[in-house]
Amino acid sequence: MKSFKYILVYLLVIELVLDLFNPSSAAYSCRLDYPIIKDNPSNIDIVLENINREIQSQNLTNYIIILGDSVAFSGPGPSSESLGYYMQQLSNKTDSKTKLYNLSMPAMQTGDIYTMLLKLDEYHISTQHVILNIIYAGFAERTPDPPAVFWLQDDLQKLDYSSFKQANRNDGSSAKKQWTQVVRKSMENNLALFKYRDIIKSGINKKYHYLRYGTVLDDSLGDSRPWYYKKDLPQLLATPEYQRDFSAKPFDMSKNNSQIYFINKIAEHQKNCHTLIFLAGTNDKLMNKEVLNPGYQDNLAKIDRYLASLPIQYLNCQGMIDANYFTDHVHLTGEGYRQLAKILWDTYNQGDN
Amino acid sequence: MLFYTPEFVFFILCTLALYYWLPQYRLYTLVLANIIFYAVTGISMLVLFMAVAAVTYGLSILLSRSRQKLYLLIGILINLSNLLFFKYSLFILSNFEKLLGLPILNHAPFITNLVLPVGISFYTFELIAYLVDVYKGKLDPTRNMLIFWVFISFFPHRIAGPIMRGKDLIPQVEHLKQINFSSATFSLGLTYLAMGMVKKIFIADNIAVFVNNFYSQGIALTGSQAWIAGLLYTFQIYYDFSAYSEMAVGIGYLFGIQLDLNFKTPYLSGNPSEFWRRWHITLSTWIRDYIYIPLGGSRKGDTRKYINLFAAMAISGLWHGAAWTFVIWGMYHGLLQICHNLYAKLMKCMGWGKLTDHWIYKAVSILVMFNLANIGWIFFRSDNLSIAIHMISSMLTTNLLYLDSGMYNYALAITGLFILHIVEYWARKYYRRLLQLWSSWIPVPLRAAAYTALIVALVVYAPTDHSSFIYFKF
Repeated sequence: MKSFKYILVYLLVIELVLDLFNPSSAAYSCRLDYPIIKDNPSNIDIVLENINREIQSQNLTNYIIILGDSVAFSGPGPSSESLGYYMQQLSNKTDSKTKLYNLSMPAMQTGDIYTMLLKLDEYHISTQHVILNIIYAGFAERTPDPPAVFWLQDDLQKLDYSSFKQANRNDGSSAKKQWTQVVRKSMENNLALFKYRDIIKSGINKKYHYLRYGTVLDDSLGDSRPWYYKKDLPQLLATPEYQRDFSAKPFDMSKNNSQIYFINKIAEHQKNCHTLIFLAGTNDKLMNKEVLNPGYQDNLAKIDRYLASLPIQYLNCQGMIDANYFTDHVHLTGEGYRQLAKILWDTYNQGDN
Repeated sequence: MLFYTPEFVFFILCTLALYYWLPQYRLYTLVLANIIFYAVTGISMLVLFMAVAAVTYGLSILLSRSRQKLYLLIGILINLSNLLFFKYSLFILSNFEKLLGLPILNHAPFITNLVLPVGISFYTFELIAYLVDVYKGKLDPTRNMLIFWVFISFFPHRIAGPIMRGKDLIPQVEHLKQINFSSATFSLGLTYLAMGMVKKIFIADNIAVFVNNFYSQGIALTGSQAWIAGLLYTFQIYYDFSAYSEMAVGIGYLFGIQLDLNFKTPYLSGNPSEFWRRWHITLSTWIRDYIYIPLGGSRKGDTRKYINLFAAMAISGLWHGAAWTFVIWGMYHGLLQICHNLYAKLMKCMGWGKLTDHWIYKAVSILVMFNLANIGWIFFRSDNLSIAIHMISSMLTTNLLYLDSGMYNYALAITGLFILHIVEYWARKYYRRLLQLWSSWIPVPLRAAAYTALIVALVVYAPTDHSSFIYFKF
């Protein structure tokens, strides 16, 4: 028990050191670190805190936030071949030296994107310049999966309760919380050791990998070769789970569709801001049958009309990237993302003029 | 609420603070803490648990009056019915369905949706033991319902044991006010708690990844892969379950309460009887006292003794889970016990009894018993009997000197785990001496730095997902 006082002092020092040398940069490298966020979405807050510090310390005013799903995140390849990385390269060549922050996450829904915008407000990170990614599948009927808010339910409940209720009316999920969750959250928010533990763990793993193999740990999420090398892919995409993503059933374009509800909320939030929404293209060679379905084409036309009617810059990327640069039905190879980055960078800057 | 979660840290700190700050209200503190702890599993589960405990308590009071046997039978029946309904009804009905070819479950669809109340197998055995002990006069029934509640619901042991007896725990609960804070006991508690956490977080959970991967391949496993899978699981289940038990014992010590140890490095046993004296000790003694001995034990001749042994072990298997794989595992251990009894008799007849004291004999017998236990775990872990039989037959027909490529690292890890098991045995044996050396050689600031590093490592590496203990499902 003699050690007890020393342990308390050491733990206190660790708390102070961790808060002082905020290790959260380990959770962001051209994009969010998926494994860290996936297991505990509240780690996004640590990244946002860090971005806020960076903006404050460097007096940044010229930056763009990218939000979206696995396409904007740039799966399945590594972060060094991601949209955020390539757009930053393009920006660095200009005089503006705009900073890019890619806060997209695989499976991020429009409800999550809207919540992220609210969270950015909370952390005093400007949403003046934003690029958003949506996909065709987001408009399809939810049964109830995927939920309209996949990652950030708790945050939406706190930041916009009426939208949270709307999302849960559609999805039927519960808002009840046990005291254990409240205590856990509170400890994670207030004690640096609990707060940064995922980041410390990830940092140790990365360091270990580097020391053992002499290379940086690959942060790819899967096989990033082009789709035509993957023999089982057509079979996989024929399953009902994936076929839902190309539904030819007429879309409900009213507010009852949570996709429309949240896009409207996003448009309202982004009033007087420069926002670009891009609809990710589909691999029309691999998904030829689905894409050519008249029902699919009708739905696509509806999406175009609806998004064009909003006071937001809109770009439909269908057909803009050659099918050879797809890794599957919607995701791209490194070269595909490089081309997409160029398209988005040019489009966004044209919108500025 | 798992013992290594942030919410449990908060819960235990609050409970300990109240416990030592208000010694006169310790009973009430524990009553409330146990309710809060169990309520996390679900309010309906708590109500059921409290109802069964209250009825058992009432019946135990009635046992001091006339018609004792009737009250005992009612008590046992109520407890067993509760267990039978929640744990075994689906198993029984689906077996009847298969046997009779009738769609029985279609008429009772709710059976398929039954949720197993947490710790039901453990509290049922404790309640039955309490009734039997009171009936036999080994224990005076407590007249204080709160004391009874703390005994049966004491949160460190409630989810997965150790299975405590009234005579051991109730006197401690009755004298809660007299428990003085002892730094030695508290340190011992922290040592057990830390040891359990290290076992769970750094060993069991890491082995689990590989075990799940191997077992998901089922019948595709080759002989050497099946050996590796089996041996890895052999260590996973030990480190997982002994981790929970040690954390429970450790938390008990933090309150100045002694809970029984469940494990004594069981894989260093030289025969099946010794194995069961070192593996899940509180369950094996329960099976011995409340099933094997009432069945007649060894009092009615050898044949009857073997039948009793076999039946007791089969019931022990069924207690673990409602599946034939568990029953077969229990029966397998019953057979091992019978074979060992016959073998011991033969050795005695031949006058080779002294041979068992030789170190070579001991080493070989430990190796044999370890592998026999490993074969048993295949039944325990496999999803169904056909996979288990396939794995065991591949294991027994493969060339034991040949390992598939890619299996060498696993073999090395298994050797390391066995060495760790031996180290644990030595550490337990020489605990006091090691502690003395540690305290006298290492200065306090350095010791504190080592403890802090351990705390940091445990916080950082504690799983954040819904990882659980294997024995929680029993």
